[in-house]
Amino acid sequence: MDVTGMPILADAGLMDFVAGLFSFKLVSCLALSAAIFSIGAMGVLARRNVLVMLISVEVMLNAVMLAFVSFARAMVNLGPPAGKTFAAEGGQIFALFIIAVAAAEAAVGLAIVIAYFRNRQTVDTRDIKAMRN
Amino acid sequence: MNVSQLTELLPVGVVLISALVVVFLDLILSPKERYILPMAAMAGCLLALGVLGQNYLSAVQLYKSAPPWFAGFAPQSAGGYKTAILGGAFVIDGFGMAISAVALIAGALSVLCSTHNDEDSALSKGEFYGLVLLAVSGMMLLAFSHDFLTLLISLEIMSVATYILAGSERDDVRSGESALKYLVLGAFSTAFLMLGMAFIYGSTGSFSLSPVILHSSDPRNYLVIGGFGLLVVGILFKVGAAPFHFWVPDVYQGAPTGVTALMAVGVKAAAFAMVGRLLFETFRAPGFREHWTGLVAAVAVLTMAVGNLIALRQSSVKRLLAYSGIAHSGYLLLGFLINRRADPAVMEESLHAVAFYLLAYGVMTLGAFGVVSLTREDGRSLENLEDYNGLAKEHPALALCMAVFMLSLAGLPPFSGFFAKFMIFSSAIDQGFILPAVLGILTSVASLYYYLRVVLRMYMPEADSASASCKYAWTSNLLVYGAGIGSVLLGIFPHWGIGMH
Repeated sequence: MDVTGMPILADAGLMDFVAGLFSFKLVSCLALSAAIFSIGAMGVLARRNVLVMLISVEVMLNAVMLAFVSFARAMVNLGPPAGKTFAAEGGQIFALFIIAVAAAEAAVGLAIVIAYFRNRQTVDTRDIKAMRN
Repeated sequence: MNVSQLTELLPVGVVLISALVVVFLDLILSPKERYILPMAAMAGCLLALGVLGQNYLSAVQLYKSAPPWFAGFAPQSAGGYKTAILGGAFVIDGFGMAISAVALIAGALSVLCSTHNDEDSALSKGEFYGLVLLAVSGMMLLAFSHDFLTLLISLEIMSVATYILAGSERDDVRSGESALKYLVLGAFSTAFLMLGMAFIYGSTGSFSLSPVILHSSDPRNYLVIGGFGLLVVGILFKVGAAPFHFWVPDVYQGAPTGVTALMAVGVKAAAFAMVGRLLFETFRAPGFREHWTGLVAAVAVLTMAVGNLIALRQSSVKRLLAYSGIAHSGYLLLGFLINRRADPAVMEESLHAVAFYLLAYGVMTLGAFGVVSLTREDGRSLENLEDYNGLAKEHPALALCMAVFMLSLAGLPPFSGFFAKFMIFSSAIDQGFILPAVLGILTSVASLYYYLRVVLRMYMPEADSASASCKYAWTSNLLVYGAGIGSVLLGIFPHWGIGMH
């Protein structure tokens, strides 16, 4: 902006549009997070391959991470809730811990899937039914 | 940070260090000396139990009275036990100590239950015992954690170790299947739990489990309600309560018997610690408790009905014990009902009932799985009900102990299960939830049928040749007889179990 306060660029409309597109909105971030979480949950419930189910669980964890980070960002923008001095760092730290948790679960999960595959040559849930009453 | 506060967490440290010691010993020892490994793991658990008891006694001495059963109830200004450590991430109180004690007992006894496996089995390696100890340390941390972050991390320490343990019999298809199902459903439920934490963090800006965080928020705030709903779904999964119980039987049946015992007792106790922290502490806030009590009562009744009714037609003892475990989760949920007044003294009584129930249920369930692990053929536990025909003739002492466990699980008077159920039902009635308690008593009468079926089969006079062959292992025998004596003693002198208070 120059001293008159007017935008320098002639096509300010486009810039406003771009700025609006990239500005932070909690609701849209949460909607995205909810969408990703639902996609992951559907993947776990509907898919038949255990590997794909594990990938879907990771997708769900990533959606949770997105929710945490967007809440943290919202607290930076809006200030912490009443009575709190700081709250924004917590969400970001939690997201880092979720990364660690997801990595541990993926490592153990893949090992278990491989051990099962060596025994049965399949990881299809329709074949995983050794136990019935 | 005050380093001296860390002595409160010393029991967990002892368990962690002995896990490392066991894993390193495995590298040094020759295969013939491997029998030291389970002994070392046992010693670690017992040492930690001793340190825990010492901490408890010193707290009693310092504050001239027992620490409040639940730190959240007695504010420090009112002379309560000063318990929040590491900036409120953990809280040390009587409830957490009781749950840790149950977790340590479960760890020690499930080690005993696993020692007699074959030399080449993965179960006789150091990693197995190290993982048991790691899982126990996760359970203890979970019992003390007072913050969403520590809650999640301790839950994962416990769960990831248990996933591996469930699949540790690598050549067995059923063990692998159990691990797969546990892993996928456990991770699935943890994702719901985490999303709930995110929503509550988003609306309160805090990770603390203290009820203070909800005071400024409107009970009709959709973020808090949604977050609470997601948390409840995740927790009911972990506990194995009714609409989310379907993973329990397969996981319990497929896992090696010692691991099943650990899951049925230790993991369940830790999950109930989580239920206690969230329902009795965080969501005890006025405006919230009115909403969840009805829900919890409905889930408890459904869980008791489903567990007991499906257990009636099981032919595998491990599966039967799994459904009975689901039913017992239902009874335990009855202990978490509170009325509108939410009188802290009455709630403390409920928590005593829950902790005593977990102790009594833990002892008898560990004993029952100990008997299952002793009846073996071709290196695998025999688990069909027919295999128990005439067990009393071949192994009278074992059969007697199994009968004690079954009658105690059914809740018959001279045994510990009776007092446990009595305390739970009377605490629910004290809180004014008479219908759920009556339904609980009715389902518990129905459960007598399937428990007695096991006893009758063992004492059937016309024992055919298909009787189970029992491997002799002094460790498992020690476990079974110890648990049998414990069930009787806790039934006759119930105040020993509650006497921690």
